[in-house]
Amino acid sequence: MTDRARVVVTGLGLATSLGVDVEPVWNAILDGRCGIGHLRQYDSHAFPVNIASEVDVERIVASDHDRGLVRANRALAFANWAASKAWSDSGMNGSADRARIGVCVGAGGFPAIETQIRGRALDVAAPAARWSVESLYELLREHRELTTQYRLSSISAFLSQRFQLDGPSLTIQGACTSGTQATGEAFHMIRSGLADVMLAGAADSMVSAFCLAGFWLLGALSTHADPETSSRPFDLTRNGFVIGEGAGMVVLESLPHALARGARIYAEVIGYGSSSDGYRFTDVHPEGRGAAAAMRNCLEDAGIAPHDVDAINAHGTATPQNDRIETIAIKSAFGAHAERVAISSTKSHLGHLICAAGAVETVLTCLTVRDDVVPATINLRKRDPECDLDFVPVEARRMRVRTALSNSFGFGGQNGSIAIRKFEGETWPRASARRDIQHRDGLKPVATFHKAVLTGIGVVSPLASNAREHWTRYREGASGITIRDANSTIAPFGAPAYDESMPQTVRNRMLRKLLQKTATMAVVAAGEATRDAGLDGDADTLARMGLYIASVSFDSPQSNFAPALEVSIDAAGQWDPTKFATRGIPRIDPLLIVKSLPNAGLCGIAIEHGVLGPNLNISSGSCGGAQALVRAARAIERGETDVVMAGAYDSVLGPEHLAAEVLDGMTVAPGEGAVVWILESEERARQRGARIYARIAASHESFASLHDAARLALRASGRAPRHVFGDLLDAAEPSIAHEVVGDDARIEGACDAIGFTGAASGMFSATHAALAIRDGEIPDALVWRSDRGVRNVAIVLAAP
Amino acid sequence: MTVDQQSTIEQDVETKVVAAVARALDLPPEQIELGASLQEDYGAESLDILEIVFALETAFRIRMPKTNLMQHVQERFGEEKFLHQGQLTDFALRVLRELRPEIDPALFTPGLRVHEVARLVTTQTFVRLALRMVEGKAEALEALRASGCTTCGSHDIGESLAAPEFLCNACGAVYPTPSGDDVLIHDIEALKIDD
Repeated sequence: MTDRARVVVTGLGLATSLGVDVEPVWNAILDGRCGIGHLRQYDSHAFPVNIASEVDVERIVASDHDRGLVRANRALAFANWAASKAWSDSGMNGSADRARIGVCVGAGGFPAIETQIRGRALDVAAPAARWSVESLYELLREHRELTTQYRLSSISAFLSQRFQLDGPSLTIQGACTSGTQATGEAFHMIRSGLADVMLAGAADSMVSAFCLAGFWLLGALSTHADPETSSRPFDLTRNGFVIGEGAGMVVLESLPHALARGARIYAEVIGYGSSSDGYRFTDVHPEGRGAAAAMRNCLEDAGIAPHDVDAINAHGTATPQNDRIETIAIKSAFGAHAERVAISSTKSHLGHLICAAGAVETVLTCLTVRDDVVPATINLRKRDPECDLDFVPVEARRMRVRTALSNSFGFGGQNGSIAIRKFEGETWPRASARRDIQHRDGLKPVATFHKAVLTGIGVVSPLASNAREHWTRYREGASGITIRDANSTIAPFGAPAYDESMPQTVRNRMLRKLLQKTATMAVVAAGEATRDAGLDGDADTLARMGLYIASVSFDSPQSNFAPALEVSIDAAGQWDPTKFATRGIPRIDPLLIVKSLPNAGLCGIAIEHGVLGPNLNISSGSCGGAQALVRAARAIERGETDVVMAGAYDSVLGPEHLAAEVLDGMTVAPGEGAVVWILESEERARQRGARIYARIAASHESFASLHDAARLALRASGRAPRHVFGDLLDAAEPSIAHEVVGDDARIEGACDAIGFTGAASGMFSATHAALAIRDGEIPDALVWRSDRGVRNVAIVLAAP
Repeated sequence: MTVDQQSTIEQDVETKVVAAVARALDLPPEQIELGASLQEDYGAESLDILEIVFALETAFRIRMPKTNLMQHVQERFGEEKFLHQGQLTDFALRVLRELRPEIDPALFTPGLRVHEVARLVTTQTFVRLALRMVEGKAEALEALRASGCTTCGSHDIGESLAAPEFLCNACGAVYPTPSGDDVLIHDIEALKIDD
């Protein structure tokens, strides 16, 4: 690979409160219209806040199937709509190579408890048992479609299936920065040659009784009563955000691919940067450290200088804290040029779409550079002296916009920024511009390929709480499976890994009390990996280290809130919104909301260990760990960074997760655990004399075929390992091993020892392979992970 | 209520507030000084404050204010009167000294900005707030008993021991205790500050 591919946007799709077709939504925004209104989904008169930015679902419902989708999972319905629009808008035809097209979407939608309870008389006689694994299993068996709410991974899987795309398929969960990170990661995947086309974006709906209550309890929501003027970014009288829902999707494409098929090009994506605050969960760093770093990383990635940027679509949530700190961060990243950038927040029109925000705003930023017009920040009437930049108040502005940024900053301290440029033909010499910047900074030009090597491992497993002991016991044939609940009719056994003493090893006081057991295991394993690599105490390296983590979807989202839900059920066993508002909300512990977030582990690692570099939280179900490893290795190979932490953590013992897995036919014991690796470029590891366990020789992802993923990974590695580390959960695994590796293939799975560890399972397999290589048992290994036949990931590891 | 009863309640509230603060901050209760700033002296985060609020709501079965004091006072008096070029006006500082007598008046210095006020909050601030909410709850119960149950008309109304609610002992009707924000707004409206 010599020059990296340029990436263009060839399709757009939206589902928002201002409409569900791109051009009318854009016109409404330029006209200064606001889509916020009074809540329509349920009777909200008793709620402390009853305004929201809701999508008119009637406009996306064409059939009973669509209606079922809306009922089961609003975020999924919005994703389906916006992706279909973007896909047909791109004019992609049947001749494109589906193996070179992937999906990378952000997704949210905290399980909407009330939709599950509504219309279903509950067994009021036995409230205590209602949230047990067995009752959740019964509920899900009756309403199978609801499992999609527990599994963020279902959104990307749905889209891969729907459009028959066989490339990588990822769901990203980085709270409010999900949409920007998903789109940015998809851009990097095309630029590095991993795919020709990516369907990217995000969908979310947190417009539910429970989420409204939660954000209100956290003090984050606007309390202004008039819907149309309730979202007031950067205004002196702003007092919180307005919750919204919807989706934004883009079709990203390598420039040669787009030109070859004569596609219409909206804009070009030229850069993406991310960062962690590593400060606190809900308080933004007072100097906007992470936000500024994301913007700087984005400019550097694009190879442009601050003065090249004409406009910014700000995160601009309208909380007092965000807008003040974002102003500071823009000044910090842009210096004197900050005053000359036209900055607007389209959250003034659409509210805050949480995980989907960055995706919708990226779509709007593409239109900004296409049309040379910057949308207004409506409702900005009273200037706040602490927000003293050009926030384009009230009226959209016609001006030349060549390059614009879109910012997103998430709960927990994940930040992302993406740079969009007007498409000016195929001759713009971006590669040389990047080299100029690097020479100016005194850095070496980026080489084209680096080998990624493993230099540190941390493990928390059902066998042990450190890697060495885990490996010894695993090789001795020990099993961590015990009796979980002898009376359980569906899952009597389990393999627990967590022990109550673990939080005591966490230094940060807030993390000790805030993190649930899954995220605590991740933080503990990250500490061990750092020490194992000899990097503990090396604050500078940690501060620029990348962080790619795979997590559970939501950690026990409903069982945590049982007390608040119980009192909301009326005498007939129906969920009653008024009872919930008056009696349920006071029983919700606000900290539990934060505890349940899917990115709690990643943010916990950033805070505890000071890992502040580029990051990504993957919630792609049980393939997440393997995908995190692949993404981390790719980031090193393409020279984006030279040191990355990659990890995964999960507990299949949580009631919701366990019920859904049993329903899907899990036959082994549920397990839990965390694995974290330190990956470095080989040059860097050798230079500092680090011990190298193994190197990543190659990897491949195929949505539909484990066989293809394995075959292509082996071909790329140029090696012929005899040993396969899989799960043996799929009956087809041994025969695939024989087909791709040979008749003498040996395959081993870890479920007998540690149970099924969900998102962490792929990283457990990879760790066993790496340790077997380190011990000289084998020279190389094929590691794979398949989620019931879809989202297949194969990785080849080899001795250094 | 006798003076003795009042001081017993005050003592009880203080003990429970100190315990909640200590638990949130992971410190022994004897280390908590009533007048020390939670943010500046103990490094409290916004989530610690939420935890303390939830603990007090649970302990006293009250509803604490959910909206920042600064927002209530700005809504009451208007930004123009309250802020000048991002800084609190003299008038605003006088209002705050009146509303937060437990905080050293000298700390409300000219030049203070809205977001800096939260830094001044002490454990004593929460003692006063919790006491006020306990009082407000008692006042509301008295009023409810006087007017009678809206469902059955009974005056036999008591306090729930499980939640911030009143219960009609005759028909089982449930009434929420007053919202902390309403109590706070009421107190702000009762303030008499000369321009």
